[in-house]
Amino acid sequence: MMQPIRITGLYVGLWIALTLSAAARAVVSGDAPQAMLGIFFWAVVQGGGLWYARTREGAPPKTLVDGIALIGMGVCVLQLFLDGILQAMLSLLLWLQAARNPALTTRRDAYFALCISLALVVFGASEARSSAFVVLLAAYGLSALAVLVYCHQQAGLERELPAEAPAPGGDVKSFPLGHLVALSVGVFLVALSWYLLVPRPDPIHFAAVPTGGGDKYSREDWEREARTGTVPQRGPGSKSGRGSRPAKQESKADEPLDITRSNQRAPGVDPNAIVMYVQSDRPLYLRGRSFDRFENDRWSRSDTGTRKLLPQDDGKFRLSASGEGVKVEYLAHVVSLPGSVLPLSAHAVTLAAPASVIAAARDGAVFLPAPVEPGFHYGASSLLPEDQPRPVARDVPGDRSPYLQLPEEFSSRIGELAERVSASATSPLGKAVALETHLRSAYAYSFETVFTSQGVTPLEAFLFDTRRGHCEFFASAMAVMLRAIAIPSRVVHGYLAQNFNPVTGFYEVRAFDGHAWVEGYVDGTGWMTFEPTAAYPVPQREQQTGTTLFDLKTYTEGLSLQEALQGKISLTASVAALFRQLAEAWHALVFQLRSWFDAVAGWVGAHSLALAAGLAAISATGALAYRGRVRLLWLWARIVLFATPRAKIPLAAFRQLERVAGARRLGRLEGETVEEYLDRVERTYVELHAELRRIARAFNAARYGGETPSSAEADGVLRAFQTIGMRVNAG
Amino acid sequence: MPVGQPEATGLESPIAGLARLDRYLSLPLVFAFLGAATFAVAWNRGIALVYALFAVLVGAVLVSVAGARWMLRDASVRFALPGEASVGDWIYATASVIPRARPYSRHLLQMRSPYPFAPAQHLFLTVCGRDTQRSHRVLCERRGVFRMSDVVVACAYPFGLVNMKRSWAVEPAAITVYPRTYPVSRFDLPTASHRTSGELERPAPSVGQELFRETRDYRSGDNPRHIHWRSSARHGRLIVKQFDAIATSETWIVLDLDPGNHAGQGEDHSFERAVEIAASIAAHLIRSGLRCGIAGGLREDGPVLMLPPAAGGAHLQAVMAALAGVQANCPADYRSVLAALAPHYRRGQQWILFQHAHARPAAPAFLRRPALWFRFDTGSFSDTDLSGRRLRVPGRLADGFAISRDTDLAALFR
Repeated sequence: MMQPIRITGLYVGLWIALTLSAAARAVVSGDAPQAMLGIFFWAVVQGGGLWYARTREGAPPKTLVDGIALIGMGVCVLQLFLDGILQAMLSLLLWLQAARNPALTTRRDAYFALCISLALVVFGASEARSSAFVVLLAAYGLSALAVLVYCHQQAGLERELPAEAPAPGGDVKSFPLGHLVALSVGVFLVALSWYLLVPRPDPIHFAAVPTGGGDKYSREDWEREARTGTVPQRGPGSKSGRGSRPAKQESKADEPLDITRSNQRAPGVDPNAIVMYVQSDRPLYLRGRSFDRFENDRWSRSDTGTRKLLPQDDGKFRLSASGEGVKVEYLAHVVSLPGSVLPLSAHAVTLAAPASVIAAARDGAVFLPAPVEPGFHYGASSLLPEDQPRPVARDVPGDRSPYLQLPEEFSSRIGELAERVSASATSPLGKAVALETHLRSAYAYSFETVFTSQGVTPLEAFLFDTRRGHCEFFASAMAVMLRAIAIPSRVVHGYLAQNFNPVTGFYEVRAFDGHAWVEGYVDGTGWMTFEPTAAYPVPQREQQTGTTLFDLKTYTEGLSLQEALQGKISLTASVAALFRQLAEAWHALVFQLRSWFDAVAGWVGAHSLALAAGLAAISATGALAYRGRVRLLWLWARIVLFATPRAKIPLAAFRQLERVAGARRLGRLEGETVEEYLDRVERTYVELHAELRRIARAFNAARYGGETPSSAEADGVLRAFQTIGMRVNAG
Repeated sequence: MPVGQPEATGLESPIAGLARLDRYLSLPLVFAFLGAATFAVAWNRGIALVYALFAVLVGAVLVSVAGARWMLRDASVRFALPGEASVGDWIYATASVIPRARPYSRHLLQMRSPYPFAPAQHLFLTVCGRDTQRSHRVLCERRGVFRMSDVVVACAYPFGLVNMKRSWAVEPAAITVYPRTYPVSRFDLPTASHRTSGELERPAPSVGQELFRETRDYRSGDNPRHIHWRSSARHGRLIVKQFDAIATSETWIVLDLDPGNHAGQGEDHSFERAVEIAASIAAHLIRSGLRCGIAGGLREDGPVLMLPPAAGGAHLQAVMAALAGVQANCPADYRSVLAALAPHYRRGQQWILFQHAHARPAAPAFLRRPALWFRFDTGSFSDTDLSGRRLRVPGRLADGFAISRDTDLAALFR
């Protein structure tokens, strides 16, 4: 029967756990001041109820409990309209727990409160994007573990006292706090090892992305165009429906790319600010817009036409026909993106987004009816080639001339350079790779703006004078050089999702990751991705290692490299070095273990028949032994007694008797005295009264009386044991 | 619907159904469910932070497995108990754990029924070690001579998730728990031919008094004081009186140790009731200066329990000790037991007998005065459902008392 909790530490732990769970929800649901206010509010409310339960006897007033519950219901209904059903349910959980707190007096109430808090923390963990959330998780874990320990202590105390027994005098001795902290540290170390070293399965993303049109991303003229196929005429007085973009926003989609300005260091933009989080099993090149027309210092789009798409029956948009390749699925959570373009990987097949209509350009760029707002998230799937690691866009250029266009004042030096670098290659792909390699190896990455002299284009200054620049220069140089050797090319601007944070499980795409690269058209393959900028990795087929430790090493190395490129010196490099050493040590250990495992596996494979025969023999022997276990125990008992010194024969005889009788389901019960046990045995074997009594006497004398049996007594015990054993053995 | 009765909401049945689920819920089961749910969320969304939470749950389980095993490393237990007590007494016991290996401070240990005389009493030690002891009160529930033996220690350190058990040795300690006795203020005996009332409270004749039986001719050596002068004058020769030694202050209490005649469980066992009755009567008689003996059972070499009537504190101690340790483990016919006790009969003795068997045994032929019978309704002791029953005054019979499971023994002796 559950009794009132008498341990103050349990209430304190529960208060901390509930407050932290409210904090977990608040930090992911609102801005910082709102979150702080929410945490303070719930700390007071939850703490007040728990304080009442700890200090007052008897049930709380019904009006108090009902009042809190009514307030909670009202807030829930309000939030249902303001923030949606999920937030309303979470709020309801907190309010209902607050209503239960004044009556929280038993372990069951405490366990229920822990379950509520766990649900809230799981929600917070699933929505959190910052590594700092780990601190909250650790604090919550500490408090929850403390509550579990105190609940266990309470359970033990309840079992100790019979229901009608008076309570012992004085306070219950509480579990030492220092020991509790040490215990929690132990749990965290084990958890950390598991978290860092155990690989995780691929996610299944069931119902992970909302689909269907939201009011924010809808546009009537687009929808009409998608249904009828006719482009609406724009004239004075024409209505473009809800969510229509003003002209200024439409022009942003057509804004040219100025190669002299680095998008990573745009004024007013923190290069380290995270613009989106991406969930994927590998790094991705997320394409925004592509540019095909080059005019010495800027790129523009010659074809701005788009086709409007409506979602299919399953709520997803079909962007292209499915084909052969490795299907990659990814989810993106937007923090801050300019414009209305959705970054997607090359050859995107499907898109799941809360929009009623989208616009898809011929080059694969996708636009929303309205600018992307913070909090928007979408999911997509793309196809990557099976036979090589570079992403490939599959749109076929009907007219290649725009992709071979060169500026009017095109310098012949650039063409000569391109011919010279690619002379050794025979295939278009080989030539493109040669150009890529040349740019990666012969030019340095820098944010410095190129100062051009009279008559020298910025691109020429980059290629022949400064030999350093940012990614727009590298991409422009390669695209122009490809065109110079008659390979169609275009510059793509988007984001590179390459910094995988294993703590949160997301790729953190920063403003610094805004990038420009090149797509070159190779007959028979498509628009292959090329990375001419040395500071960025050439597209690889690499996936996450699956172990957090290695991923942490890669993450910290990537961050330290980015900070070095920005000219910053920070602690990240040291942390990266530490993780690298840990990872290398672990790798060596795993390699050794794998070598041993392979050796054992090889031996087992070579001797499989013999092993199978041996296992079969062992199994058969085991089965026979089980059938004859009583006989075997009896035999073993005789051997043991034979080897036992005379002084210990009574003790050994009794112990062996327990074992042999136990095989006949006459084992000694918990709390049973020697006499009671032998009485019970005697009820089954009535004729063994004298022998059992002899053993009991000898055992008690030796065990409790400290007497050493004489030879005659020891022999008598052995004879009695022999008689008992033979009788028990017979069944 | 009757006035004042709460309106049925239709939820009673589902709520009752949910309440029935409660008995299947255990912390490990709920913990496993929550762990699986957390893993499912983490796996579905591929969220590393939720995996971190799952890792903490796994860490808790692994620490529980290792921690419980660690806490149960080699140790022994020491109990300090009073040497004697009676059933129903609260005694103070001290328990201490002596670790023989690290760690020297043990936590969250549970001993289930460490005291054989108090099976319902469990012991939970939050912190114990070389320098800590735990004193607590224990209710003595069973009688007997108990030597503390190995105790099974369970530990679910630290979260209650994984429970392990181990047997630890207990340093020698013993306690004798005597049967419960009721204060005897008034106890009616069946009327005898030479007594109008049979209250034992009146002092009975002391040992050594003789009862006149008959006359015979004088023989050399007879005590002249025993000459019956009237008969001598009538017959013209010396006639002396013949006396029998009487033992009107002696009482025999004979228990039935045949296990087949008893029923019940725990303190509601019919044999335990018989022992309580015997102990109460014996204690009262001996303290009153009378002589009382107990007997019961029969083996080849004689009665199993045999303490001839005597008086004094030492005898009382012996009787109580015998009653503390006696068990119903001797399948001998009660009539045979009584027959075996016939040589110990002396005129004037009061015999107190117990009938547990269904068949009503006849009174022994050698008894000159009616025995006092305690006739047990063994069937009532087999009945496990006594909900709502109240204790009742014992029923009076012509030759004794009727005892059933709900008999108030205290009222028997008031």
